Amino acid sequence: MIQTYQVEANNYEDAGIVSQRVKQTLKLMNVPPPILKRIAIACYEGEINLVIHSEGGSISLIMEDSQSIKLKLDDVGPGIADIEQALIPGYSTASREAREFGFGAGMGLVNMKACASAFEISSSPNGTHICMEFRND
Amino acid sequence: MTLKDIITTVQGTPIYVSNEDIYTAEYDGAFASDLMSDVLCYLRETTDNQLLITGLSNMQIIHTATTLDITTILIVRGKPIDENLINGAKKFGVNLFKTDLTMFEACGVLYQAGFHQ
Repeated sequence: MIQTYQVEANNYEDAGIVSQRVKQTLKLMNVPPPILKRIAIACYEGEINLVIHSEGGSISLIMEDSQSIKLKLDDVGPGIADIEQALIPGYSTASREAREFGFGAGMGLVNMKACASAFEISSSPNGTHICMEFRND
Repeated sequence: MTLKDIITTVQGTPIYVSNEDIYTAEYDGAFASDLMSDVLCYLRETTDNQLLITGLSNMQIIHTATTLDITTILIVRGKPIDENLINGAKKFGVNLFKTDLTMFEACGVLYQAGFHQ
């Protein structure tokens, strides 16, 4: 099963809607609460990142079997200049507007990585691609 | 501490209450922050019933609460609450309260009343 949702850049009002849908879908599929929470947090942080930092993108929920759930985040740029730096807790390039909405603490990617069983990220000026896998471990 | 005692202690007023039974619910602790990423990070592993205390009053507090299965938010500093936020609270079943106390004062009186977690 693959479900893909579009995320609009700078749309702070709707930020979080996709994550709620993803969580609802997984809840209906009886995904256990601890893994459900980890996926919901990672998805929400990812969605916020797309809104704050990208020029728009998508979030795909991929369920290959009941043991493994993946979230794939793809955007169209401008990319992360230094991924290593972006993964340091507290490092942030978020705008003042993003901070007013409660984000931009520099914990987004860190939190996503901590929630996922496996975390892959690649980035270029054409976009950032993140794949997170969540297993019952 | 029950929600009723929490709200009495901070001299809070209800903005949206999903059902009256919530007042007798026991809360294990609270987390106070205006940074939702910090809330998402800190409460990632917890299974306790937590209260979110914040000075923010936008939809992101509802999404953060829903993501973490937090059932109640206390908004501090007497901030004006718009209709959009109330509708969001109703839609996602999150209880909303407000107090005129600052975040520091709200945390202080709760701690003094024995709410230590």
